[in-house]
Amino acid sequence: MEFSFTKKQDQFRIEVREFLDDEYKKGTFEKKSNYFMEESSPEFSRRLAKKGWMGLTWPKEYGGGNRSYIDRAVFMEEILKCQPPIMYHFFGERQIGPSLIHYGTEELKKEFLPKIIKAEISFCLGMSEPDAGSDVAAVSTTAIEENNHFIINGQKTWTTNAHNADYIWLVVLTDPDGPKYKNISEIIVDLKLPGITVRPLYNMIGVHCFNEVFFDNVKVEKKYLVGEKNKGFYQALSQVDYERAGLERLMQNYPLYESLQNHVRDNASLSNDPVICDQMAELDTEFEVGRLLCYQVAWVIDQGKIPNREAAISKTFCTRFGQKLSNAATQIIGQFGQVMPGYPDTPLKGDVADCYLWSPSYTIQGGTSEILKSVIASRGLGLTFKKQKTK
Amino acid sequence: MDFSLTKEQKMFKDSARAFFSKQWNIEMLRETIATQQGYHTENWNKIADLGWLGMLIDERYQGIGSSFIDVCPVIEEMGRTLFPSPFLATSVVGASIIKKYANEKIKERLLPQIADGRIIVTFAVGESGDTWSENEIFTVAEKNGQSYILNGTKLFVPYAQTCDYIICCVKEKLKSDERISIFIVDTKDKGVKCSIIPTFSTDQYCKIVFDNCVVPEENIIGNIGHGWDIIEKTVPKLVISQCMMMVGGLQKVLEMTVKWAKEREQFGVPIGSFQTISHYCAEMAIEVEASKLIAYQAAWKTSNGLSCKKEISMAKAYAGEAFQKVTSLALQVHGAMGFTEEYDLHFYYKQAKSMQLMNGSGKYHRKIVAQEMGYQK
Repeated sequence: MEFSFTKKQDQFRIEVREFLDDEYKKGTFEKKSNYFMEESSPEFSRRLAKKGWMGLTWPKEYGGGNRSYIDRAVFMEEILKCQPPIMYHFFGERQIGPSLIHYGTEELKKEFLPKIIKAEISFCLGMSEPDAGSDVAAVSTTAIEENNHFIINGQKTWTTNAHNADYIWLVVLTDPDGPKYKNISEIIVDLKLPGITVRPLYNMIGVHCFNEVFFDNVKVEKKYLVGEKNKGFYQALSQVDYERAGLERLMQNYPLYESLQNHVRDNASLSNDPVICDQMAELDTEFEVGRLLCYQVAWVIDQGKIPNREAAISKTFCTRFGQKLSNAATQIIGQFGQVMPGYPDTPLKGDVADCYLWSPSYTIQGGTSEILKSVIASRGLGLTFKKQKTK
Repeated sequence: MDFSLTKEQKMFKDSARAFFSKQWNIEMLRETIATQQGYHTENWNKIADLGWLGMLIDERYQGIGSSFIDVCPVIEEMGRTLFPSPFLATSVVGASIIKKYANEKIKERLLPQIADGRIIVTFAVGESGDTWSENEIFTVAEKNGQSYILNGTKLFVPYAQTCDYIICCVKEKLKSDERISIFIVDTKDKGVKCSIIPTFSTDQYCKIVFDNCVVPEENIIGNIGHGWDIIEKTVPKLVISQCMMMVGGLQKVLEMTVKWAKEREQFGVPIGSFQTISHYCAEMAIEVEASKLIAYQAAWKTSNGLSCKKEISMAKAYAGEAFQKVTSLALQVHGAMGFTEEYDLHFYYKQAKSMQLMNGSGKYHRKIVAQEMGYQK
């Protein structure tokens, strides 16, 4: 057992922190919760790429750093403390790259990996559909083979970053009449292709970060199929374990957490209130637990294992913390907890109201807490669903 | 970062698991806690033979000289099987205080006897107050020639009824001042009166009344007047050990409940196939994992001499609440069966509550966390 970082990791953390401090002073970003989900900046992503901080865990042969997931978690922890705009490269670096390395052909790897790692292209993920949310295998967008192409028709929704991305990683039906789960494939689609329409969706904060994406006879070369045809569901399942594994699940509203702690500390009436102290201590305890759970997920991946039980536990726990935090924050600052950013004299600059509105999404995106609990129960504990016997 | 046990820790854990599964069961627990002694002599001697009682004692005093983190997996297994014993009192707290603060004569006399199981040592700090504080020590020591006379009452002292020595925290009144010191008291003195407090815990807690108890001066541990410092430096190990026991108990309760959910059938199917039940189990699994990580982090940091007051309190606050929550959920999943005397679950439910309350409740430890965060100065 070892609950500390290596000297190298500590140095790396400092290096990242100094870089971010510098960028912050230059005015590249504000330290605003959920900001990294909202903002896409190719320039900032490319500066990270120049530092060699993209593809930290990817193998050297694809331009990666061949470093551990713990190293990447250290990097992400510092990023999330500041929340600079990372949406431009986030999906590509986090999961498209690793999936391509795992399942892609040499041709696809050559085409995409160098561009992802240099932050020259941006990806979004096309999984959810209007009738396929938690039940991913219920997708109805089709990709039908025709000569050397797939012809794609259908609709994706809740597609974060589609309005800024160059490519969409699609989960589609390639055998509409085939058995469920064994009729799905993954295909990379250029969003500039004719027949694609991206329509913005505004969330309850009024922010445009996700979209609907429509496909009308979109013609995609067959070589953009990732992995095996009709095995896409199983590929996607192992990818989501990576997707739900990261510290972003815990630290989505970290700037709020930091400023709330300072706010309580700076106000004697708050910091001497035993109920508020108890609440803050409970939050801090849960934050610490969440952090350990996230690092454990990284460690499991470093052991060469797929962290499905661990990631499901971690995400359920961490997102609950995020919601508890924003709810507690509204109660601590009282009636100003409903005032949106921009109004003068609002404690914490309106971040509280903003975060409170963001927080319901935490336990929904990337696998709802209910789906995750079913994952823990079935894959972690061996509790399986059985149909009731009928007489 | 490394979340796995070392080879040595795993070896200790495996041998503890093997020992308890062979030598210990809930029937024996029922019999043992019904006795005045409250622990199982035969097994106490056996774990002495295995060297566990002297794990924290240096080799020159016939111990093993393990680091604190290496003892943790063994304690975890004790918690898992609800092995009631003065292990924490004697081999964690007692051994730690004596080896670090006692004079050579006491060390030579007592440490080998602790290691081989011949004596039981306990510690008496708390009195009427719910949590330990320097200001709530009212047991007094009065100097009388080469001895001290002790008077006062200590509450919730583990296994005092059958122990040989009590490491006791007392106040000495000086002319214009008072100071706290630690004495080691021989329970054979006629001024020591112990009685069992009827708790529902599987561990035994006692009340001690010191009624003109005579303690020779050489039985002072550490420097006179520095008693509270000793307590503060030793309590973390006690608190973490208790967390370890809870981690073991948590894991076992989860396993019992999952097994039950797979076997118990209603509506023609195992109840674990119902989402409500399976999600309760998933909730429990989350709490088990969370408690384990936060407890082992505190253990590792303490064992490595890192300052971690906040992390220790986080561990106790978290694991304490988690164990209570998990045993309640377990009872719900078990239905009426869990509420019966014949089924084993109630022992865990009781132990969880007891451990949540002992050595600082969640509220107390969260207050420490808050102070460490810079609040309530």
